[in-house]
Amino acid sequence: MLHYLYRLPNKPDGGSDLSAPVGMVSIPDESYMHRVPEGAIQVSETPVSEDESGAFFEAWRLSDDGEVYVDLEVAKEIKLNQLRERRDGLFKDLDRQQFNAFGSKKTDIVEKIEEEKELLRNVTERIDWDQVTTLEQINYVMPPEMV
Amino acid sequence: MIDPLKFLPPTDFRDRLNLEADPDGIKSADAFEWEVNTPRMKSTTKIPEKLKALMGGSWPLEDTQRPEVSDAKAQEACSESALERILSKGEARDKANDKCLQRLSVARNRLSPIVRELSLVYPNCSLMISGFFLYPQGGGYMGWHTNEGNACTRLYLSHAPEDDKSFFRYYCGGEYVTSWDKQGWNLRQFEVTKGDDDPLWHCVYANVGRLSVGFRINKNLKPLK
Repeated sequence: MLHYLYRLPNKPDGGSDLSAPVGMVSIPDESYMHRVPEGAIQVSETPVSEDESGAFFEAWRLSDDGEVYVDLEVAKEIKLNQLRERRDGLFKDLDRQQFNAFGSKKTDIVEKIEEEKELLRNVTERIDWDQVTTLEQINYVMPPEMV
Repeated sequence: MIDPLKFLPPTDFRDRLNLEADPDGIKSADAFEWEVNTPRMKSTTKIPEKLKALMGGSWPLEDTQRPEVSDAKAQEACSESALERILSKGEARDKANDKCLQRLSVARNRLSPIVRELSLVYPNCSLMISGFFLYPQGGGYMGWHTNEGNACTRLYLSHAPEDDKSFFRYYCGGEYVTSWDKQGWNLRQFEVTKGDDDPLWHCVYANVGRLSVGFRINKNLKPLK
């Protein structure tokens, strides 16, 4: 397979700049080149070695020199969204349990769950972004409350 | 000892918050008492009771097929000469490409209390499980590697049924050190660095069934309000 990366339009006139997200297209061989957008550059199957899974694909950017890199600020936002999504699932479970505990008049459990929820509410503010300067480090942000 | 049946459902906050089943009354540790304490490596057999209790019970196997074991192969993979061969070729080996082990599955409701317990010792840190393995009796091993793809502090808690039948061996500063497991729980903490001229090469050998859980520890959180 041949893999190509290209900037997606992010300007009103259909153009794009450095901050544009990228698209990726894979073709079996060069006879399918008509499917590859103009200006796309050929890349390996995993063009960003530190993001082999593509979990931060939306943060990939293409420089004018054809270099693929990761916009760390966008990657941080992606991480925050991943944590929020995880937290939503945890909240749903906790809400259900708190409701059951309330119905059973188990006030100690209700309070314990409330404490847990409070920890979760503040969890994204706990991240010390000054300590997180690479994509690898972004990957390893996981407050214990979220495990 | 905690009831292992409690942990069978894969995810349920009822279990996570089931305080009745938690080893209440056992004091949490605020620090480990290291028996070996060097800048790159720390180890101890003095494991806090609460952590031992949380690690107790049974752990289901994810890889149910028992791998073929060979003690001779395991010893060879973890020998000094094996590392010398790797080094002479100038090979980087972030992860071990030769190993004989079985993965264990970890339900969130078991993992969460362990992580929270560890977070008391490592405040303001993210703790992520890096692997949970059973090294099979008779020749389980993980060959030489550095983990330098993930620079962080690593913590490994391992359990061996007998003294001096399994080890964690490392090479650093031109010196080989073999840290034999003692019967029961063993805790080791070491620093993995990136782009280091002297990475911490390490490997694991087990002639007995050896349980091992590892965590990546990254200081990237602010204190809890």
